[in-house]
Amino acid sequence: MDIALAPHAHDEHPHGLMRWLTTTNHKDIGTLYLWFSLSMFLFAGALAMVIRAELFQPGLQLVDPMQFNRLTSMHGLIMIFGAIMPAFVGFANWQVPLMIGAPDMAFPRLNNWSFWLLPVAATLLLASFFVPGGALAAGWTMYPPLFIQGGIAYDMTILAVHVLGLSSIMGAINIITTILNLRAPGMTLMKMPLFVWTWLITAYLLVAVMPVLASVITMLLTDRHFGTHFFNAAGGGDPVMFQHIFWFFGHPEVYIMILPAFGIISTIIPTFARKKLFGYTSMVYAVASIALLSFIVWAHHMFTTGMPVAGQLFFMYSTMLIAIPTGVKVFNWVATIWRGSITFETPMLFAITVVCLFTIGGFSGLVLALVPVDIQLQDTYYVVAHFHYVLFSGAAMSIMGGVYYWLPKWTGHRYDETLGKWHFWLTTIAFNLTFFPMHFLGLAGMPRRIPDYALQFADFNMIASLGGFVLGAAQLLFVYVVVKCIRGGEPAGERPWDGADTLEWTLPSPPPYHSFTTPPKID
Amino acid sequence: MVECLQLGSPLPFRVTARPAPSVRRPGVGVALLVLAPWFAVAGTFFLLEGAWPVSAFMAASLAGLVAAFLHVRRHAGDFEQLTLDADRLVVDSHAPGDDRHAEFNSQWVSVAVRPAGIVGGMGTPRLVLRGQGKEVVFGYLLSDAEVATVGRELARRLSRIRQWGRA
Repeated sequence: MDIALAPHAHDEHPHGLMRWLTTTNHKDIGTLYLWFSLSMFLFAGALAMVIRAELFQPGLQLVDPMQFNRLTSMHGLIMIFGAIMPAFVGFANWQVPLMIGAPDMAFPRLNNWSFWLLPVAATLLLASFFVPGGALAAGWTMYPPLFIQGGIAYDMTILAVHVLGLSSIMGAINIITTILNLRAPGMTLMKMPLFVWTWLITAYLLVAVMPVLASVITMLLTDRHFGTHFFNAAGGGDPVMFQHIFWFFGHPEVYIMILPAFGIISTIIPTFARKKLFGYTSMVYAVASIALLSFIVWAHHMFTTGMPVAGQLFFMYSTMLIAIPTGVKVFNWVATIWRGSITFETPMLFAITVVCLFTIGGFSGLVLALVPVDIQLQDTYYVVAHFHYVLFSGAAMSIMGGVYYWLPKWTGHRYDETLGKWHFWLTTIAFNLTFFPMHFLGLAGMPRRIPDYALQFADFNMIASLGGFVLGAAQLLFVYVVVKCIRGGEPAGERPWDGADTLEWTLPSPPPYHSFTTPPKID
Repeated sequence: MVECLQLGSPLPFRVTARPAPSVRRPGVGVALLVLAPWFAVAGTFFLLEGAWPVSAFMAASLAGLVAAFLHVRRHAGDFEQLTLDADRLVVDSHAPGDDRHAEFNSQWVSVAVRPAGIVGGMGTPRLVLRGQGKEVVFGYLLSDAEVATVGRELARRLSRIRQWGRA
């Protein structure tokens, strides 16, 4: 006779600071990642507020040009490596074991290390503002020769990015091993929720490209201090090679930040449409195709550096090819919504908006893929508009939607739906107010990374700045809703969303500290 | 990680814990082959272009992934088994390079669940069996909840054996 083990039999765990420092529990570590990400998001967002304040009207108001470059560089670097990526790793930590019926991650101690490397890197980045010469001002892309000429802050940035990269690789190896080795009996690959699939593919991308970033910044370091000439033209090196290597990492990095967002959207939409996800198999293949194609499009970031026409054509067509699997995904999301019993709770509002706005970002990407157009628009505000439509309305708003979707599961309380909807509408309207005019600014020729501009750009910049301030303030409302939900509220119950059917909803809310200690059986 | 946990009745009472890897050996090969050719092509390309550190870092990253899978495969056959009958409590465990066997007298063995960690009282709970001058820790493959449940069940059955001569 088998005696089933009661999962609630032992839910004790350490308390206080030591709980968080020494924890190996995937839920605790997921929570740490999410809080870290939120704090970095608010910090980098504050930098953006200063940028928008400076650009509110022509002329120099608040910061000098060098400081402005520091703000834009650090805003990009921190948002990418400190906010978006850790947020998705936080989701992976919380959700992947719960969705595959695993008791924890495959390497819990490695998981703890992966997280605690992040504050070290963040400290280095933030401290670089206070060293002689100030923080990195050479852009988040760290292009030489400018980067090689910078002060001590540039070395701190290299070290910080190294540490962040190491954390990402360790986390990715852990996620791959967990998904492949710890699935519950019966959970075949093609039965995994799409969020898990997107994370599996993202983790492979991370393992594939983070070493490329690590190597290129190591070469920068040796060029700066050890007399090598990888990128120093005076010594026979090639600065354009830096760009090739950097974007060989950089373009898959864009998909590292968007594929998990696709996973979140593919989880939310079927729940609130109360239908199965349309075309599950094609979604899996589409995600894999996007990941594969992301490796062969990097030079579309470099059309103006000078390359053979054949090269331009190859990278133009390969970039346009990505529209096909992306189109498959958008089609499947729309087909899932079609004739569904739809309700419009906050997560669904975010999901639908992500589909619409990300599509705008995708289309402006197609515009930029055209070589003759890109040569005109390179380094203009059109590019700024494009990547914010991809990374804010694609990645960041998916994260917000995901937080609203899983917050009742994580905390055991329902969030304030009214405030959630206020946050959604303020964010969506303010986001479009901020970034849509940038398309026009870019088409009119306003260059990016400048603190001052010609008078004809003033009106759109003022609108963008006003939108930016509202967007920033709306995120404080988001923090309030999250904190309020954590502190209390209406009990969420086991399954607050009646259309939700993945494994985590079979557990109580919040789930016990140790969940799925006896693996569930999947039919 | 527990695939099989039997709390049989009445005797012998046996608990077997094994890790449950959900990927088979060919699957591991495929998981690694996804990356290896790509690393070979890209690494060689950058090597020829003079950016040799790219190849070195790629190799290190792949080595990390291989090491993770090797670790999991190496421990796929691990098990811990605890068998109780009226006279004896037998503990067997197998891990690469570490096979253990211990026997205790059912009448005298003591059972305790205690944290076995590095910071005072903060570690993972384990089942500690003591008797005849030796101490054996059981439950490395069990979750905290399972350790607690097995500990309670074992203590209950030992008590019955001592009282009635049967579990």
